[in-house]
Amino acid sequence: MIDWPAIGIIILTAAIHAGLQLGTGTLLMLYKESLGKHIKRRTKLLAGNYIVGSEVLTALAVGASCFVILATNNKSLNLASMFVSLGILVALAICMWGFYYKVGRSTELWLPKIVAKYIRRRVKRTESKTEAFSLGMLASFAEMPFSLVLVVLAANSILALPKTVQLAMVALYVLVVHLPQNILRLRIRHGQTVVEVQKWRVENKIFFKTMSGVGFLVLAGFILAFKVIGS
Amino acid sequence: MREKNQYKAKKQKSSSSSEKTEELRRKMKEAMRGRELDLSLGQISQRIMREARAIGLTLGESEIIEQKVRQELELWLETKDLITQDDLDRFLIKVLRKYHTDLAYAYENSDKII
Repeated sequence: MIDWPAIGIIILTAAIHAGLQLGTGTLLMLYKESLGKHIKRRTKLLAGNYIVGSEVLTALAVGASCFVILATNNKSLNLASMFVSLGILVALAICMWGFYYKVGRSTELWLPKIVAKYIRRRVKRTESKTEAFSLGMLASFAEMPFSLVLVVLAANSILALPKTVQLAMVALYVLVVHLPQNILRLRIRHGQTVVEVQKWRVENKIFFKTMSGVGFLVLAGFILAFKVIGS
Repeated sequence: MREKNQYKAKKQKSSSSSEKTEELRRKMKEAMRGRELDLSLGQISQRIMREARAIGLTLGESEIIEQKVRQELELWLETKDLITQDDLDRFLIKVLRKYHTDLAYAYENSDKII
């Protein structure tokens, strides 16, 4: 029998993860830097490799989380771990509303200065497909303080499903998480400029901010209802 | 037309490119910290060209804008004894806005995406 709440949690965590802006922002920067230096074909290749790198790291993170949960918690997170996760989700919701985005008319994120500088420098120096792939992994990794709990909760729900659909669920999670990046790629391929996309992001910043925070709280409520009280 | 002639005359008067770079470096000493910023006219031009290409302008359009901005920058520099990075950025954004608003936006927000 299929555990529908588990599938709901996987989709919800993936949607919230997709709402985090570091990966999309880094891809946009890569587009800007690459279009300024290279022909469009090369930029397309770099962007493609960036997304693949990010997808690979996300899939590996979900896989590793599944393994850790299996090894330490015997198939699913215990109640104490669930409560800790709920606390983290609420804290992250407050972070989203409070300081994930910096104030002002930009989409600058709350990141340690050294990390932001390093990512910007790497974006400027990205010339080859391998570098773009690594940059995708780096951006995905730098987002871990916010995304790790989502990945762990998704992994926990994946383990609650039959073995035959587990791999498909990992693929679904990765697909949903990278939907914004793929949409960005399509928008630029269909003629939108980097400036138009960035202006759109700035205009809708408050909406993203609100929805991300709400998303974390809704997920916390969902888990509380179906996995803590309901189990 | 008169303005154009003024530009030409001032351009002839001005020194060679490397001297200008040196002059810009000298002027771009941050008054408070007293350290010299590593920037040159060539780098500024390159950056404008890169940003212009990134927003989809053709090579010709990018070069025309770059030349116009450079001319105005050189004139502006002659009127200043000391400038800071912020002065320079503000001036460049103001001039770029005159020729292409999207380019000015891209220049202004180049490090504000993440």
